[in-house]
Amino acid sequence: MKPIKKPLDWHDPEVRALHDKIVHGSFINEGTMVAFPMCFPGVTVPIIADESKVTALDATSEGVIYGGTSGKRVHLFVGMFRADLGAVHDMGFVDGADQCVGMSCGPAGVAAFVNGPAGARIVCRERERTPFSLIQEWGFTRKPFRYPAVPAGAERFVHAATDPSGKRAFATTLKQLIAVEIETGAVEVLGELRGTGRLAVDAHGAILGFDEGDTLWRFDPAARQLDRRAIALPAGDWRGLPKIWARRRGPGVLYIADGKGDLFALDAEGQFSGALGRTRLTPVGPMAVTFDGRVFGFCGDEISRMFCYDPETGKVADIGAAVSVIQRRRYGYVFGDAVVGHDGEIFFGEDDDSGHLWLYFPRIVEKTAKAAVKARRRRA
Amino acid sequence: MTRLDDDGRLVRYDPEKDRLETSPYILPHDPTYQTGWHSVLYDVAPSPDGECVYASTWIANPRLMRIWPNEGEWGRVEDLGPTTQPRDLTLPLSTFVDHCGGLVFGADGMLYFCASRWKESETAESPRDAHGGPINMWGIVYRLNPATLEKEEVFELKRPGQAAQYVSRAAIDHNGDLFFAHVGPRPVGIFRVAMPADRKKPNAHLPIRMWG
Repeated sequence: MKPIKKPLDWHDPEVRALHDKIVHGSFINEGTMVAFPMCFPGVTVPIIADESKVTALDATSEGVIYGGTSGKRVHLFVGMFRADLGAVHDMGFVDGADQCVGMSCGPAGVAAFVNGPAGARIVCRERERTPFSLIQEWGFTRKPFRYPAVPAGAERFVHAATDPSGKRAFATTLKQLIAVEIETGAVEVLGELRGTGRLAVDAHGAILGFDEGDTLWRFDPAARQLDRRAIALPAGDWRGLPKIWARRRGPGVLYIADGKGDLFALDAEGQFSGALGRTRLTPVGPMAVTFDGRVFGFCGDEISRMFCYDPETGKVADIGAAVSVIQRRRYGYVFGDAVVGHDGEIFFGEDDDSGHLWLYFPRIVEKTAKAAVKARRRRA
Repeated sequence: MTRLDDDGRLVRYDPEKDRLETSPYILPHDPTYQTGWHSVLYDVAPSPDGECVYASTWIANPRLMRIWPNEGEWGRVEDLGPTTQPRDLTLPLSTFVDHCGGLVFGADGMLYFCASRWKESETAESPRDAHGGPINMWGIVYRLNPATLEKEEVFELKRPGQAAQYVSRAAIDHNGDLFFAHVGPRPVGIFRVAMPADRKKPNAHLPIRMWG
């Protein structure tokens, strides 16, 4: 007997509500995203489509964004968006490199960590001078890259993080933890370990990375001490997954997600919370913590969706897939890195052909509503 | 009254309608990377017969165009092409370097204009003038035949020790000699170009340009 399908009653308010939820819930339904092309619009051409997967980002304290791409070739770029700037400047490509895994900004220079046919390499350069104005006349040049010597045996870089002073970048290879003086390019091997997953900087300025046995190693730059298996990861699914921390400006609670999409917080005392909530899809990709403590990130592969974890409500909300409708329509599916900008906006690097730099402006929570939530939580 | 908006469209005010109107087209620009943004008219010179105007845009890769305002609802625009050299489009180049201006009709009925030329490999390490600007740039004056649209390079504006690539306006005196106003390191000045006798005539400055 054939099952009888009941036709949808489009006059039914529940059906209409579900339809509305499906259609309008698909894309960003909170805050605003703007996809910025990888060029100075109207002045230069964008970085070539298959060389523009944005996989590494970092921000200066002034809110200038530096990054690196992956694809047929690595390009290093700088994005300037404050006042009347509004440009991504292609600082040049790196011959023999097809993957950029880390970008670190110092006070005067930047260091990128790249892989490819020419091996694992560090690429250093002066920071780009911030133009006084880009209203009508500008001058950009391509300053030369420097390639500090990479320690023997460094087959591939895995990730990099910048210490709070901005003077040094810490990077992992498949076999080592190294430090690079960003301005001079001086490289020092700090220890032998197998790099896996991304690095984070804890509330005390120490570097954290993933160690064997579901633990974290911790390197204290001041004491120059590497502690293996220093912190145990909380109970969760940590098997062979891309392990990504939520980026933030300055010290504070760190967030990480496991393979099931459960979010955990690591506090200043090195204590992990229990699972705070679960994202709608897995794996969890790049995340960043904006100034009010909310965590925004993407989850899922192929067509990823943005989520928000709000520590005040303790809830993980599904925000939807990325779409930009300002000036030009673009849909964003895969993101490679995230970093917080000068004013709490979040930059997501699109890890896709013809990648763009996406700016996300979170919804501002009404103070009164926020206060009410706080009061409710206190009562509870 | 007609002017341009910032997206390269003509905007006109019609006093009878008391309305602003915008052209359905965008003025010529390089379609490979430009949108028309900042394709504003930088300098304009009327043809001696008053039937059309010649104009250059104020954006990198400035284009020369000829506009016939009395043809059709919005006039007819002829794209006469780029005025400066091809370049690396991945690098933002200043409109101070990549520039065209100083449009003027000579006594010989030809359009003269100045377009910049620069050394392609200009880098941060390239020689600089006292104001930090690159010096490997030159102001080249071209002569365009309005009948055939043939263009020839006629001379270079030379300023000892400094670049002279940025000419804002040009004029012709009553004898037919040309003058090019130069923008650059101070003191800026005006180049006087004595024209050969066969390119001069009495009262060459007429009709006096009243706008632009």
